[in-house]
Amino acid sequence: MDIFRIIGVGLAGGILTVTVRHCKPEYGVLTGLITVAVMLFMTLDAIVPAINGITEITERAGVDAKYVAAVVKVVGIAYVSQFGAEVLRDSGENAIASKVELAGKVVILGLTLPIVREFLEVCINALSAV
Amino acid sequence: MNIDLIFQIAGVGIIVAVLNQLLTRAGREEQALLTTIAGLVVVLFIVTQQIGELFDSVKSIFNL
Repeated sequence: MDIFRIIGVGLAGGILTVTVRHCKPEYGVLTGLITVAVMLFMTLDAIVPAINGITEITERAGVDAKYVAAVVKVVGIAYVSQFGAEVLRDSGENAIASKVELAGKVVILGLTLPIVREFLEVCINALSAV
Repeated sequence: MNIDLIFQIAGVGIIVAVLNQLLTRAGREEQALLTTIAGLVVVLFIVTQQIGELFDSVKSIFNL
């Protein structure tokens, strides 16, 4: 999906959102939400080859596939939680937006904890071997 | 997830806004509120469907 189409959709959706928000605020939020969703859907088509390429490169480099999977998961969580938080912030709900971001961060932390623990163990073993 | 969804939802929003004005001018405030809520339900139904579809595809791509 080329970039010009995505930008065009974004501009059209933005203008529509502003007009509808002027007449009916709640519909403005919904138009904004659906515009962002459509654009995200379009960028997903571009992300798939990028992820496959990255996983392939790291496999060839000998890095354990588990770490790359974690990185991809973190990117996905950030992708979605940022989507929700920005739409909420647009509609004026800053409190809820920050809670959504907090939830995203907590989930990411939960995901990366085992890897950090593994890394610490490696360090401890290295130090104890000295 | 095609593009004319945006225009559909914006259209519903504008129609409901116009209907609302029409009904309030005609002195029927309750019907105006009911039309707004009905329009909101329809739009929410479409939007939740699309958001569900988006989250499913994100889940499959990032294998969350």
